[in-house]
Amino acid sequence: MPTGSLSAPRGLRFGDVLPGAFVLVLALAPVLLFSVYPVAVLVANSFGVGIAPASGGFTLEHYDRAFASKSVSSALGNSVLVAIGSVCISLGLVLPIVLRQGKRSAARRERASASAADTLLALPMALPGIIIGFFAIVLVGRTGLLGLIWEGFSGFAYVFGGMLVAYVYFSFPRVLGPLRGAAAALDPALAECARTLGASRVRVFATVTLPMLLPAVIETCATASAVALGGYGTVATLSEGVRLLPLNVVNELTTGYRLADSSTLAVLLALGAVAAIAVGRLLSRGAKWAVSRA
Amino acid sequence: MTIVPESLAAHAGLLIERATVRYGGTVAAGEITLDVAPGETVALVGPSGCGKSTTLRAVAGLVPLSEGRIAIRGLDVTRAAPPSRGVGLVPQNYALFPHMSVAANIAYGMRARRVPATKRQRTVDGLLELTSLGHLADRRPDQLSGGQRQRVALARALAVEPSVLLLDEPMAALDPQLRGGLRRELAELLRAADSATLLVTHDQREALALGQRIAVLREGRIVQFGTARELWNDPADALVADFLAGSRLLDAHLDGEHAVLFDGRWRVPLDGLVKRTSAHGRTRVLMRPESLMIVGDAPRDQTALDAEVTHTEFVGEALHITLEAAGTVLTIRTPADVGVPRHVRVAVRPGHASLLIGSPN
Amino acid sequence: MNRAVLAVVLSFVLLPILATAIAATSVDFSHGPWGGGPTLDWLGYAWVPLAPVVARSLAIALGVVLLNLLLGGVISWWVARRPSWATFLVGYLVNVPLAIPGIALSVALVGTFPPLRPSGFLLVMAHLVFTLPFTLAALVPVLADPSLRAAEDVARSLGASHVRVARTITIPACAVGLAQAAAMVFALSFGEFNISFFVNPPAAPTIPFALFDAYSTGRLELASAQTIIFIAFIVPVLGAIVALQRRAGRSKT
Repeated sequence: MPTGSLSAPRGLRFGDVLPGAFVLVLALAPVLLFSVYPVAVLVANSFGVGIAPASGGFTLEHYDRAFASKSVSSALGNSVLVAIGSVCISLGLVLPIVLRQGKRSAARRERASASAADTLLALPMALPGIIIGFFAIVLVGRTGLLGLIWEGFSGFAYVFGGMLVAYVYFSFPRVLGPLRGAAAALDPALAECARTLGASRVRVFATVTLPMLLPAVIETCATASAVALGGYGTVATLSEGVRLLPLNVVNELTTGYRLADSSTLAVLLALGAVAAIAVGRLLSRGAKWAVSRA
Repeated sequence: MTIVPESLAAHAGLLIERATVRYGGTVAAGEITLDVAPGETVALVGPSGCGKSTTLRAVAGLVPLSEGRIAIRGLDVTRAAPPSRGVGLVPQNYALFPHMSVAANIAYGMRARRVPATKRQRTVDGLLELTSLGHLADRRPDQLSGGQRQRVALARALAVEPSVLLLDEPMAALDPQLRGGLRRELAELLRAADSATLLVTHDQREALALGQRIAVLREGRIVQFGTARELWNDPADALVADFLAGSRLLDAHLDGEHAVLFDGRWRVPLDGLVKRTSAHGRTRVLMRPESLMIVGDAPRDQTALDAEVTHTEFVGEALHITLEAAGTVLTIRTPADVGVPRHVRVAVRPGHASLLIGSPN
Repeated sequence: MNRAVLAVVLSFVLLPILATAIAATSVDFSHGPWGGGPTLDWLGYAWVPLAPVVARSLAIALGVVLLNLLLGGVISWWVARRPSWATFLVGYLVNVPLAIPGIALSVALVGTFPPLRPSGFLLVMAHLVFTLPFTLAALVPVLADPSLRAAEDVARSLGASHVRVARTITIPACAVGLAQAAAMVFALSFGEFNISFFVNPPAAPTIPFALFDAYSTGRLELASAQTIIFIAFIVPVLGAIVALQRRAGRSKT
C-alpha cells in the first residue's frame, strides 16, 4: 500500500469533486431560484424595472405614493406597535417560566406533566396566524364566549387591544423557545453559588441570571418582533378591525393586481423586519460587551 | 466519635445529624451523622454516586433534607434558605461569574450582605494577597488558569467569613500534573482560615492530605468516620482498606502462636505481626502491598502461601505484583530487580502487617 | 409566583382552544356555550368537504419533508464539513426566508414565476425554501460535532467503507436531529399560510385556505369544527417534536 494514502489528506481530485459539486449545485438551486432571486425581482419590481406588469422603467413613484399614503403610515405605525408590544408582553410572561425551568429539581420531579405542558406551550407556534385570529373571534368577537361574561369583551377582537392580545398568542412561543434554550445553557451552579454567598433570589436574578441572559433576550425579542411585524394570518382573519401593513401589501395585489405598488410595500415590510433583526444582533453584541465590562 | 444529641446547641462548627436526602424514591444520602470543628477539615470520600456531593449540597441548603438536622455554630439551619446559612461554597467547576472581574467575584457575597465599601475593599485586598492573585484583580475568569480559578473561588467563599466552608472536588478540574503542588497550596490556605471545612473528593490521596478526619461513604451511608490515622490503621471493612490504602483485610482467628487465615491454609506466626486492638468486632489481618514478600526457598509448611502471579507492573523503583491465592487477590510491592516466576510462595514480611484484634461482644 | 405565571400562560393557551371546541360542538353558539344542546354534527359536516383538502395538505407536507431531508441533508453536510466563505454565504442565503416576511416573499414569488402557480409547483418550492432553514439548524450542529467525526474516523480506520460509515455511524447519530427536523418541517408546511397566500393554486387549496374561507364566509360553528380538525392533526406532530427535543436534551447532558 502506498504510504501517501495513509496519512496525507486526500487531494481534490477532479473525478472526486465534480459529482459532489454537481449534487451540491442541484441542492442549492431551489434556494437561489425560489428565495434569493424572487427577492431581487421584488426589489426591482418596486422600482419599476422588474417583471411585467412592473417593468415600465425606473421610477420612484411607488415609493412616493407609499410614503404619502395616510393608510400606509397608520398601518405601519399599528404594525410596529403591535409587534413590539406583543413581544414585550410575551417576555414578561416568558421570563418567569424560563427561570422556573432553570431549577434542576423541578424538571426532575414532573417529567410527564412537564412534557404535556411543553407540548401545550409549543402549540401556538404550529398554529397558522389565521387560527389565532379566529380564536379572537370565538372568544371576543361579536358573539364571542367571553362577551357573555362581560359585555365589554364583545368586539374586543376588532380594536387595538384585542389585536395586541392575539399577537401575544402568536409571539410568546417565539420568545419562549430560544430563551428556554439560553437558560438551559446557563450553569445552575452559578445561581446556587450566588445564593450560598448570601444573595436573595431577586439579587441573584439581577446580578447573575439577567446579565448572562441579556444578549439572548435582546436577540430573541428582536427576531420575534420581526416575525410579528410580517405576520399576515392573524390580521387577515381580523381584517375588519385594526389595519396592519401586511393587509396593505395584499390589498394592492387583490384589488387590481398593482404588482409594483404591492412589491414596494412588501419591500418596506421586509426592510422593517430585517432592520429589527439587524438592530437586535447589534444590541445583543453591545449588551454582551457591556455586561463583560460592568 | 458518636454525637450526643444535646451537643447540637453547643457545637461551634458544623453538625450533621441523621441527615437523609431522597430523590424521588431513592435515598441519595441516608442518616449521615458527622461533625466538623472550627478550623478542622473533614474529607468526605467514596466512589462516585455514593452521596458525598448530595451531603455537601444539603449543608449548603441546595437540596432539602427529608429527615435529620443540620446545625451551624449551634444554630439549627435545617430549614434555613441558602443565603442565611453562613456557608462558603466552592463548587466543582468553581462557577466563577463569567461577567465579573476577579475582584468583583470575590466581593460578590459582601455586596449581597451590604458590607460597607471600605471594609469590602480591605477584605478583597487581603484575600487577593493571601491567594497571590493581586496582579489579576481586574482579569475575567476566562483569562485565568485552572489553579487561579480555584483560588478565586476559594477567596470568594472566604470573603463572607463563612462558618462552614464547602469544597466540592476542588482538584477535579485541574491538570493531574499540577494537582500535587496545588494541593499543598490549598492545604496552606485552609489552615489560614478558621472555618469548619467539609471537603468532597473521590481521590484518597487528597482526602489523606487535606482531611484531619475522613468520612468514607458508600451507597449513601457513612461506612467509617475518624482521623486519617484511625482509618489507615483500623479500617472498618474491606472497602475502606482498599479505597484508602490499597490494602486487603482478611478474616483471621488466633490459634496458639499463629493467626490462621483462609480456613487454615495459611498460618502466620504472631511474632511477625504488629498487634492492635480493633474497634470493629472481628479479628482480621491488614495486608498492605509492602506487608508481603516472595519466599523462594521457604520450608513447605503453612507459614507461606502458594500463589499465582496474574499481573506484574513496573512502576520505576518497584514492581507491583498482583497475585491470586485461595480465591483472593493480593498485591505485593517488591524491588524491581527480581525476576518473578508464574507460581510463587508468599509470606508475611515480619513487622509489616497488622493483626487487628477484635473485642469480643 | 413563577408557578402561577405558568398556570396563567397555560390557561391563556388552552382557553381559546377549549372555546373553539365548545363552539364546534354547539348547535347554536350565538346562544352561549352548547346553546341549543351539544352536537357532533358540525364536525361531521366539516369533515366531508375537508377530507380531500387534508389529504392534499398531508401529501404536500410529506413531499416537502422528503425534499428537505434530501436537499437539506446535502447542504447541511457541506456546510458542516467544508466550512469556507462559500458555506458562510450559503448559510446566510438559506436563512433569507426567515428574515423576509412570508407575505412579502409570496408577492415576490408570484411576481417572478406566475406560470408555475396553477400546477402547485410554486407552492411546494415556497414551502421548501421556507422550511429549509429549520432542517439546517437541526442537522448542521450534529454533523459538525467533532466527536461524530472522530467516530467516523475510527470506523474508517477499522476498515469500513464510506457507505458503511454513513449507514452505521453518521445517519444513526443524526437520527434524532433528522426526526426533529422532519416533524418541524411537516408542522410548518401543514399550517403554512403567509408564503402560500399568492402561490397556492386557487383550484386546489391547502387546509389553511379552507379554514380561511370558512372564517370569512361560513358559520362560526362550522369554522370551529374545521379548526378543531386541523388542531387534531397538528397536536401529535407537536408532541413528537417536544419528545424529540427532550431526548436530544438528555443525551447531551
